[in-house]
Amino acid sequence: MADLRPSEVRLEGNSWTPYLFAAPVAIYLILFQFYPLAQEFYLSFTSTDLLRPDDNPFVGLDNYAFLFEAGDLHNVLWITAIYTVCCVVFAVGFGLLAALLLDAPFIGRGVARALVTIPWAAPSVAVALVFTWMFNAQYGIFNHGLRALSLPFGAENWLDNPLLALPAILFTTVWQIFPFSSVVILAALQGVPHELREAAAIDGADRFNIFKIAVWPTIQPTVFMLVLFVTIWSLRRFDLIWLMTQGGPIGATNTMVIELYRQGFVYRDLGSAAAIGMIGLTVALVVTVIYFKVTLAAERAQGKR
Amino acid sequence: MKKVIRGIMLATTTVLATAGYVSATFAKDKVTFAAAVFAEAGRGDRVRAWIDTFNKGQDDVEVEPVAIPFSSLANTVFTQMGGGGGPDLIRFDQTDFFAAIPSGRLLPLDNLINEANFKFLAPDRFMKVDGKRYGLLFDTTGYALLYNTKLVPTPPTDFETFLKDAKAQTKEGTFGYAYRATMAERAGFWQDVTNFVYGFKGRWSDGKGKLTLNSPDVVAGIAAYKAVYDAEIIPKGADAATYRRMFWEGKIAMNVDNGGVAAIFNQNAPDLPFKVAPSPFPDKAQGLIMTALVINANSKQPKAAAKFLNWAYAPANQSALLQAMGTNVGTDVPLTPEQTAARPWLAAYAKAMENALPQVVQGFEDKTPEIQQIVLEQVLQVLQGGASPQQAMDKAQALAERRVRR
Repeated sequence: MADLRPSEVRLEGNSWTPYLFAAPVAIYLILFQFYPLAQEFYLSFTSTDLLRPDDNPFVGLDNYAFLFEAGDLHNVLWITAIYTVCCVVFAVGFGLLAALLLDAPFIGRGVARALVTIPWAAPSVAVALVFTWMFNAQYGIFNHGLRALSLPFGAENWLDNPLLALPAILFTTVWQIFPFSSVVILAALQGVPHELREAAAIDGADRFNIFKIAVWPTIQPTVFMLVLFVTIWSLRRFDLIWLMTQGGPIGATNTMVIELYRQGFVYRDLGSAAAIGMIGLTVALVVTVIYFKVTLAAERAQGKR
Repeated sequence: MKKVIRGIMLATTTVLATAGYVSATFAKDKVTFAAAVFAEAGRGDRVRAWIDTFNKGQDDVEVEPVAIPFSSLANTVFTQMGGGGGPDLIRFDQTDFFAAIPSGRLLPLDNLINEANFKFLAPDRFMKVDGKRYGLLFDTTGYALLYNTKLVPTPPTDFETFLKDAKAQTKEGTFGYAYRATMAERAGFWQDVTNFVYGFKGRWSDGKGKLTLNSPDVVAGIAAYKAVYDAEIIPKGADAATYRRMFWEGKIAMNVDNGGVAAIFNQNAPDLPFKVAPSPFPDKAQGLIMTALVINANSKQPKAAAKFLNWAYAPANQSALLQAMGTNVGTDVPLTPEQTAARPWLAAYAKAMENALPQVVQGFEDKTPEIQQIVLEQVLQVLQGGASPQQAMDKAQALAERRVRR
């Protein structure tokens, strides 16, 4: 059997059996993924009001043109890009650092591993409310700290300041999601063969080179996968941003998902909301294609393909 | 054996059919009633109790309160209505009430109630559009200056004195004034900005189909809003819930707010020494809070819903609702001396309503949510982005005109 090529393998049962097995998933995908997606695609070319969804005259590319001309889509795309890149860099970066620290032997390692997962386990709504208070001008702990240090800040309401709002949202997001990266990378680190590290150490490699030669090649696929996940999650993160700033002040934290909600539920313009959804989908597809190209290139470089 | 099984099946079917018939006979028409007030502590329980008195007196109708927070009520209900469903009765904020009418989502009430039976308050005229009645005024109040008499014995009557008094009171954790200036509290932010604009004689439109967002009077109102922001007299970043708590704890000297807030202060701090005076602006015009009780056009129980409406607006029940809400209600309810003594602010707010205007963009009622968003973003540019009031409102005018033309 092992020597047979796929074309030589004969399946048991009649020729419909494979389709029968695939049918449930295919039906699910068509009903709950492709059909709504196709409807959203159509909706993006119509003028549809939230209160009159049945009345949707075709307007061609008008929604897209309006978003680029009168809307603030350039700024929205820019804020989304900054937010996503920073989330990926800091969440995966801190996750990697935390995982390497937690992988090393020290007293209380078990407790430390449990503690680091707490932010990830906390509900986003609770995190948003707590951090909103922490960034408050009069009562926030951050401003108390800044005032105690006699720094030239301390009277700012971070979430109302166009310069500080995005860093504040990013700080909160990274604080909440980096533990997930650290736990996943920590699991990947358990798969690094001990002999490899020992062999590198015997060859005189320092810590950095041990990581580069023995550890990184093993955990690299996991880290790349994390990068993809965190990118997609950051592109579609809504709860934390909406609860803390609703995309403000003055659009400083207005990402694509927030703008989609604003168009759909503040302006009640489902056509424009669907157009933003399609743009967001295109961005997510581009990111995924780039990811697979980079992964393929990395595998080729390592001689796996 | 077969006979036994057949007998059991027959008996079971008979019992189930009889039970179904009996329950159908005694079932009441259930009318759902969605309102943000049910989610409020204190007032929510009192209004539920008021509805219970209706339910106890009915054999065929039962009203079921549905609590939805103010911030998400319109989105939730609009989405349900768009899908062909939603609650039977809804208490809408004025902005959402006007937005729902052109979409045909509200049932005209002309054939369901006889308005000659009720003595509606003056703002009831806004419940009719193109001669058709789409709602009934549920509760209404104007805006006035609430001031802590311990901190400010005499209320300011002009804007300059107001700023001076507020600055004098801002010290050691106490602030002279409080208002909203964040998009997280968009609805309240709009109400506060509108009071300043109306108070400086500005109007969002000329009422004849032209937006006037960048008119000199509107710009003067926005400049005054900015002057308060820059005067360091407000607890920046504190939301309404927080600064209202600060007020009843004696840490805020003055606050322009509606009659419902006066009731909240009184409820939470019965000994708080506060009074109500006209807002310290050049013009007497201020915003008008009004909510509309409507019947969803998708309702399967319009007659049962109308039965509740007719009960709710009977004089005795309006009086009970006024006690529960702490604000004026839809009809003219004569107050007893005891009621006036217990709620002295009601008379002051009734007077404020003489000059009150709805906080919607007149002539663009259904577009108000969109114009609101545009205006507030530009006001934030003035407060925090360094834009001049004229420059920002010119931009708001251009953006709003473009949006309205769509």
